[in-house]
Amino acid sequence: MKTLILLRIPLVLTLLVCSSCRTLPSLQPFADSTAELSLSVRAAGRATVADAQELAADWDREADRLASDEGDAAAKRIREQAAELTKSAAELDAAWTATSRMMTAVADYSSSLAEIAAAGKQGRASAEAVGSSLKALLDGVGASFPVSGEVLALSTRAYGYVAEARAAKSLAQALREAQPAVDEVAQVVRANLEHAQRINRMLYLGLVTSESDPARAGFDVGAERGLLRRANAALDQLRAEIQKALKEADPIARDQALAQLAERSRGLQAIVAGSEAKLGPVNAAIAQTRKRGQQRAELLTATLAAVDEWASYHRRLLAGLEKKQVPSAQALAAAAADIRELLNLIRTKS
Amino acid sequence: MNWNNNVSFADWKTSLRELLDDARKAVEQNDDRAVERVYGRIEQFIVASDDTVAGVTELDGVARETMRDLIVSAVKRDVKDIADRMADIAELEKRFANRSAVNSSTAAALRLERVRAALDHTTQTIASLRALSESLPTELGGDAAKIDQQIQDVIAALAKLGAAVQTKL
Repeated sequence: MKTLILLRIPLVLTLLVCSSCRTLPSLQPFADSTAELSLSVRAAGRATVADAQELAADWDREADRLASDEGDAAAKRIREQAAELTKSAAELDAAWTATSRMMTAVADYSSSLAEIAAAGKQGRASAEAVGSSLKALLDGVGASFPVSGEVLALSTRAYGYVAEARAAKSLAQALREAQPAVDEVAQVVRANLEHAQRINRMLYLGLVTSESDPARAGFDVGAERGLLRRANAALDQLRAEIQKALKEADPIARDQALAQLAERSRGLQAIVAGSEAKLGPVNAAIAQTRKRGQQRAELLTATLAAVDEWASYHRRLLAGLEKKQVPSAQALAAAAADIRELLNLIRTKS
Repeated sequence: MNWNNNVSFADWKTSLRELLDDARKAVEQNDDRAVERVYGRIEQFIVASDDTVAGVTELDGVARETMRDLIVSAVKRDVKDIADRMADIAELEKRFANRSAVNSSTAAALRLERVRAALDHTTQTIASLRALSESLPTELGGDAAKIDQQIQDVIAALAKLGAAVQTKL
């Protein structure tokens, strides 16, 4: 009779809790995506700090060049501006370190949610482990295990369902209690990333300009561009004169004019070719820096999108658990994959 | 703004002054896109300016300084806005850390870890006590029997703990 009662209890429990079977999602993909997001936020901040430090260093080099060419007075203001930028970079580093620590705590929180879900799914294994521990204890005192293997199996299976139901309930409570903080994190991180986007755009204006600095290029880029511009303008003027000379009625006068114009044209084309060759590497460096700035911008944009998707998924997960429907984490996983790709691109190219 | 007709130093100076006014307005209005646009136009001014005209090189110097000032002031402003949130961020970090600890404890309870730990610890204690009982030196005489009895009492008490766990399960 006692055995029958013992058998019945797990069956009853099984029937009672089966309505919550298979509603407990695996939250490992969510935890993994959150970890990627945390890394992305950290990387975005580090890149922006590094870019500010690089630009300040460019200005210091410009100051050194001016000091040697024109004296210290010319360099003084540039050094002051470089120092202000360096100070801002240090402040950004401190603020972003705090943001990164917060995101690590958020990633740990997401892992702890996955831990609850996993524990809920491992209920049967946990009960079996307790059974083993109890048997070891009873063996130690010379007592026998009180129930048959069959009853034990039923009990452990029943605990499996109990654990899943409890985990679903605990998960819903955990998500509900954390939702306000999740919304605040999304708001704060979004705001910080938007500021980082603006900082990134300004820094890259400066970094692109720095590529034309004579200290870096080894020649006066501005003067060379001016020379190229004037040579091209003169060539345009020459083409108009050639058109006019072609209409000259006197063939001898026409041929003489054309010969002179051709000579001048050759001279101007040589100047243009020389300037373009000299400016080639500078233009290539400018294009490369613009591309780097664009990659940084894409990482910031992708991270912004991922933050919004993460907060939205958390809310949908809570709503889903309350309705016993689990939302797909596909969009979040896709956002995390985009970020991973951009980070790899930046790492290989920098 | 068209510089094609600029000839004299005065022409270039007027063009630069207009740009500096535009830069000041963009900064005052906190319009980051306008700041970026005027930065670009100042850069074009430097490229277009005729440095064969006396004094224009110095105007280019003023233009470059303004470009750097635009970057410094924009970056400073955005960094300050980020830094102003540090207290909120520290508070959020704490909240999530606390929530993680609660969740991990919930998971451990679901895994029956504490029950297993108690049972395993009790089993080890019983084994240690048995070993102690078997190793009591004979020189202790009657005291050995008393100590052994006490050990057996403890083992019996621990066995009751095991029974209590079994009942609870």
